[in-house]
Amino acid sequence: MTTATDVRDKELETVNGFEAETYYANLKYVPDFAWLRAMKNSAWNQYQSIPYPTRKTESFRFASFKRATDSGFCMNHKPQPQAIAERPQLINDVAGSLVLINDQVISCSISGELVTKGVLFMPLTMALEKHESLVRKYLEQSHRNLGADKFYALHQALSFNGVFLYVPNGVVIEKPFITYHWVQGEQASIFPKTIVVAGASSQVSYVDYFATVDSQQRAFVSSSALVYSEKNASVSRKYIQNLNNLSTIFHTENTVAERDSSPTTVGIHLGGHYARHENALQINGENVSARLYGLTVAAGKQEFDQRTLQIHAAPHSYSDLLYKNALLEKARTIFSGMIMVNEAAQQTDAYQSNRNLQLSPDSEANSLPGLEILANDVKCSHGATTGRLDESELFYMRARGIKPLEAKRLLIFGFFEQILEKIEDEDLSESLRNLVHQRFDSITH
Amino acid sequence: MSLEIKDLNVRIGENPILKNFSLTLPKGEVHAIMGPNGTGKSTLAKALAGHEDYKITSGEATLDGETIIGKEPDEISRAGLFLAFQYPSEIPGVTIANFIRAALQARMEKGSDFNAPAYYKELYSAMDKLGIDRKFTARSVNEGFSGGEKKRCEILQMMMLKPQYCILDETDSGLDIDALRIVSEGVNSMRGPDVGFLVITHYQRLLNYIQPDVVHVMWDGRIVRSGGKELALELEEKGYEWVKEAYANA
Repeated sequence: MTTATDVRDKELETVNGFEAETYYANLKYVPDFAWLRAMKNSAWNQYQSIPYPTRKTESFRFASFKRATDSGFCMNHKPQPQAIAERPQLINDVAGSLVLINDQVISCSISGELVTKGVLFMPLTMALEKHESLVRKYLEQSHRNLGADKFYALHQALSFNGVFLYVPNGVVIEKPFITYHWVQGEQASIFPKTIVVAGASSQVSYVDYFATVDSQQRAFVSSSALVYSEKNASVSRKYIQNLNNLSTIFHTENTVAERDSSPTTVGIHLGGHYARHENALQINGENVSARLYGLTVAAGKQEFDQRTLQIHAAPHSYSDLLYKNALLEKARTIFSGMIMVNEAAQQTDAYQSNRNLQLSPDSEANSLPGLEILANDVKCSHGATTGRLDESELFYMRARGIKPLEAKRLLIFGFFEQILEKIEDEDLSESLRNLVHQRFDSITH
Repeated sequence: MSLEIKDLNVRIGENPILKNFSLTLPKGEVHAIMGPNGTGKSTLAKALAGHEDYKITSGEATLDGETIIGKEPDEISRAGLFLAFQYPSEIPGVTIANFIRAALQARMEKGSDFNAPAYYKELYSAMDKLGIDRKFTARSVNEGFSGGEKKRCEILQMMMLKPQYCILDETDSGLDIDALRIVSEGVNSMRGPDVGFLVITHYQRLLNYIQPDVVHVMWDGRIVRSGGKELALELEEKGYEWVKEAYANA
């Protein structure tokens, strides 16, 4: 049987990516700052000059490079907010919430108390207008991509909105902030940019949630996030990708950790025909405790292409990465991870682990764990495992009367739990647990 | 009403382990099976529980007249047979509370409501009896548990599922005296006219705490001698060499 996706793959080969026309038309949404225009022009030139990945592109090793394309998408469908009016919120009790459709602002709210403390939470366009120099500082920081440079250049060129969250020094916020990134319209694309700055000794939790309004309209998302964790800050960041299975996704995440800070990122990856996620952590100071977690439910003909980098540039810091993938049907996953420990980063404690649960013999899990250690006094480990459900665990559960399908389901949910339990906010963890379970049940029923 | 095992033959791979094994465990009684390592005690437990690696080649096993041969492990469990494992599996990410709840729900009719408050009340009461910290409800089943904690968790499940026949496979191994006493109290609290226990053990010590009605001695895949609880003492005194010598050439 030929699915709609197969046909689309073939069509795509003959179509080009974004045209200059789109780029220039889109500039009207970008605030008129010379430095910003220059940045975008340079990004657009880069986008045009960098070739699409081919079979030989090392940074796309194991990926179906033909899926790594932006062909056939367009921008700026007019948002129809009534279509999402009835959609349930992921969490209700929040510090602030922003809703975007096709990168255009539908609503934005922040608790008044936080405003008086100097917390900024607003769409990026508004932040640029009101706080140009502050935002510029972070926009001009070099952003590390892990090989999807063409698509990152495209993101830089076409991005005109996103979210800016700034938490001043010492401000502690318990409730999470959330941004809903909706994509609406056939072949619509978005290019949102997230900037989270957690000031010294501050505490903040932030969620990006990506979803398509229509399950049958394929979307293109090229997004980035910069999470800046100042001295002694505690940042909890979640990336929830729940787009439909026809969509193409590129995301580049950079976490920068200054001394004594503890950033945690949790990624939940559910949607996409091709979903590439790049996650780079840069540890700049001592005594950092950083955690990177990922959970993927891959089914059908989905492909999840995940690349990670943990850079230890300072001594006495800790980083731990755990990416777990459950693979069903004919899904593919790629995990490529690297720990880099600089010469100066003595007494580093760095871990990297990729666990794949292969629930179908037709699925394919690729793993490329890596280490590059230049310091001589470190504790580092990396590892990847790919396995099936454990027969003795299944027997044990069945020996308690639990029926085979339910026993498997419980074991698989148990596999997810090691990531879900890392989410400290109870409402959010329950909501994400439901999201992941529903996604799994929708595949298997 | 009994667990009736008749001329049971079980193989693992090509190796015959149980050889015409027969035993009748009437409801309300506690029987102990003793014997040296490698005589098939654990094979008996696993085979009755329906483990697919233990091939039943002939014979019969019935629970109150209903056969369990050829049934799936979960069907056998729901039919009323409980196996307390010698080496319980660790189930990462599944909490004890959710695990036992799933086992109870598997026994409920479709569409009927689960009474969560009553469940927790009963669960906590059983945990208190077994000296298990209530915080364990939120811990993954057996993950990171000590040997004693694992065995207590087995008895907790047994108390919650209320089976009609229980097989305890070397539940005493790896237990210190306190844990042994607590586990035994749990078993003793369940004793009554509606439950039958088959206690598999290598050592006589457990039988000081759980007084058996009948003691069976197992050797080379079958029961070679049965008697009262004094048989356990005799074994303790003479050792298993005595059994080996008496029956190796028989």
